Amino acid sequence: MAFEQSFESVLREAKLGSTGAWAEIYREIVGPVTGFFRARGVSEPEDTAHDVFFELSRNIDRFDGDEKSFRTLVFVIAHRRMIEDRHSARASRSRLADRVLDRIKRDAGVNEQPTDDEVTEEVRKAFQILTQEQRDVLTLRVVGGLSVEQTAEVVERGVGTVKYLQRKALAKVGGIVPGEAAT
Amino acid sequence: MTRQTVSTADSWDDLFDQDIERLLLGGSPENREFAPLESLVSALSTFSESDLREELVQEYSKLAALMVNEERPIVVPERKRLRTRSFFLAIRRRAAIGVSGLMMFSGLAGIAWASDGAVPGDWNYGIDRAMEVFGIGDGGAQERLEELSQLAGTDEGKVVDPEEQAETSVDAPGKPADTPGKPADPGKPADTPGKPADPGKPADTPGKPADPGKPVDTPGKPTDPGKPGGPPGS
Repeated sequence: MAFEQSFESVLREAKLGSTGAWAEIYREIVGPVTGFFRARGVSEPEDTAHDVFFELSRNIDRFDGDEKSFRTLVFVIAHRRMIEDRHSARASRSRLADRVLDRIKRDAGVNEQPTDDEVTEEVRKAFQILTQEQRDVLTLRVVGGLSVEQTAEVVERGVGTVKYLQRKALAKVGGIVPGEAAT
Repeated sequence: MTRQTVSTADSWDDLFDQDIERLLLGGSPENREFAPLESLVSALSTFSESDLREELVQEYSKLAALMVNEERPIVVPERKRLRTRSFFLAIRRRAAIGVSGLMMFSGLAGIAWASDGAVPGDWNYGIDRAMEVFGIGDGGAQERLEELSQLAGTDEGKVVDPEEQAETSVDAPGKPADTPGKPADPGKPADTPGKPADPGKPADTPGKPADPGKPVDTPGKPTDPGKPGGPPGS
């Protein structure tokens, strides 16, 4: 994540309701969050990513931290949304956001349904043999660009558990037998 | 490439983790067995790339700026609402059970009360006896005697003398048992005292039997002339 201005100034302006600051935040987070939702098979990934963005704007006053913490917060919200989506066919959205999103989509002619091409065959095959948690960890690490510590905070697990999960996941996908790794 | 088995699990994990970090950060791991995973990580990383349309960026940014410090509407969470609803459902269910229980209890109490005075032959006499088994109602010998009294139609608690009852029944089978000593003889015509006797018939004095040795005076038959008492001048 690389803001054009310093993160502190973007955050300060965003809290004051600056459209420019929010445009910068949007460019930084919406892509990875949408990608995270797509990779995890969340329905309507773009709309759900926008929900995360709006939830962030409503709660920005309560945030106080650095860029790393901000990114963690973004994916904490995204991860919760993904779990909600797992449990319900339709992720809950605020009415206002719902109406605005419908209008914008209609005006822009956005096709929100991800195509099969978006989820590559390789990822699909790899994810088939992994558990939900292993998929979550890999996606957060690669697509979200989070560190082990950040990922642990998002999935509410310990650092050791996250390391174990990613190790197991990659070993399973790569067919690597633990204890016989070549050096 | 030299294959070497790492003896301890910790050492192996450390090596593995280092390579994983290199791999996930887009670098090339030292262990070439990880090479196939590079393409997977590369494929996954493409998910974060998205073509952002500037007009959409501006629209959403304006909206987000407006939402800053926005008072969020008070929305009762779904789980909370469900809990509230289930609380009222539980209250209603308990009230229904309570009312049903009360009705059942009062119904049984009413039946028990109504059955207490039942006598043999009544539909609820069985209920009365059943209640007595559970200690509800008087029961015992006293109640049995009272029931007998009721069945016999006598005063409460008074036992009928069977002999007296039997005599009454034999003497006056058609009359009620409360008129003893006045037997009626339906087969014998009642003699009415003072009723004039039939003139064509010999005078029959009631209670005085006729003298069989004395001839009956027959009209038209001459009486004995030597016997006084005949009609003068005849």
